[in-house]
Amino acid sequence: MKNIIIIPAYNESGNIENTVRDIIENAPDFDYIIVNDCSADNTLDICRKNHYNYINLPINLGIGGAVQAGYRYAYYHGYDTAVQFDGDGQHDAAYLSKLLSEMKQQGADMVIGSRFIENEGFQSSGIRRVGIRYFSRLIKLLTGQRITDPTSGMRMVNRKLLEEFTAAYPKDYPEPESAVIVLKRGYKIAEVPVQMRSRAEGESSISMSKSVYYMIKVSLAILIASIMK
Amino acid sequence: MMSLRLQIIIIVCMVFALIFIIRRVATKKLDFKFGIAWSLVVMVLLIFGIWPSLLAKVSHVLGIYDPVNMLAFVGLILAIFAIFSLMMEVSKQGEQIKRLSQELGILRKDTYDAVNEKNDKDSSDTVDR
Repeated sequence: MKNIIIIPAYNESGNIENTVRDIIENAPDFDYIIVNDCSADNTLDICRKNHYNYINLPINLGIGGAVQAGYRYAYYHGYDTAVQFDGDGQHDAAYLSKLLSEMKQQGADMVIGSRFIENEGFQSSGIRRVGIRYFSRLIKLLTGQRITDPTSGMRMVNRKLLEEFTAAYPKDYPEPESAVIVLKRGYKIAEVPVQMRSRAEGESSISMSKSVYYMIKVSLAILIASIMK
Repeated sequence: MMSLRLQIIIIVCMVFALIFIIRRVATKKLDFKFGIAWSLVVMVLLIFGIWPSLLAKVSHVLGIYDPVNMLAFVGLILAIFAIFSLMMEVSKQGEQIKRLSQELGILRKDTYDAVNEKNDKDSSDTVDR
């Protein structure tokens, strides 16, 4: 089975080396591909200098476009699974094999690493947790399934979903919306408890003022996605 | 004053318009932010259709005697705004296309060089750009 880790990276010059080192040390069965989303800092130079596997996007696409580029790469190169892994150091590569075994055991099409099953490790800020709980409830209302961490970036998909996401994937804040789309099309989602760290360096690409806009936008997008088949 | 018939026509048309917009957004034929903008316009018109006296009130507040004139004026402003934001979107895409074109040109050059360098070592085929 061919497995790949997709690392979307935008201005992660402070974190990217540690992230790749974590992967190489703790997830040796996985290939990886960094998707440099036209970073303005020297993320690209660091990738070149270290001879990392990377795709360098000529135009900034945002997290949705960058991750979809990774899915497209994984699909074209015949991978059986692809797991998104954030380039900011919040994710811990030791959990990746746990996601993989859960996928095999449960026959799930998507496995999400959730911070909120055992509630250990970095639990994100208070306001964000309110937002996450809200999305969790909204998704339960619309699909019947409880997703405890709908915004988690640590998610593994199988080849069937690779094909779906290569064809279409949401642009902004894609995690909750893609979960609803996946459920509405009859695929299976499983969750696995993981611990995450707080971001080591740099800034999140989602600021506070953007958060309100995103809350509304994602809610509407989820509603629309749930009407569609 | 608006006849009941006209009110019903407006309300029905606006509901259809809303469905039309939502379907386009759902099938990715219309970008979400544009869908939101047009949905807001449709909903304002829907409100005026349900509550025509509001139309008169707003136009008086703006100092316009005839509500129809206000509708025409506001409609024109909205149309101008829509055209302007389209031009901005087109400009942005123009920049992106320029960037893609340059990257593609350079990629072809690098591929050409890599293939021909390999071929110099094997056969005599060359790649034509």
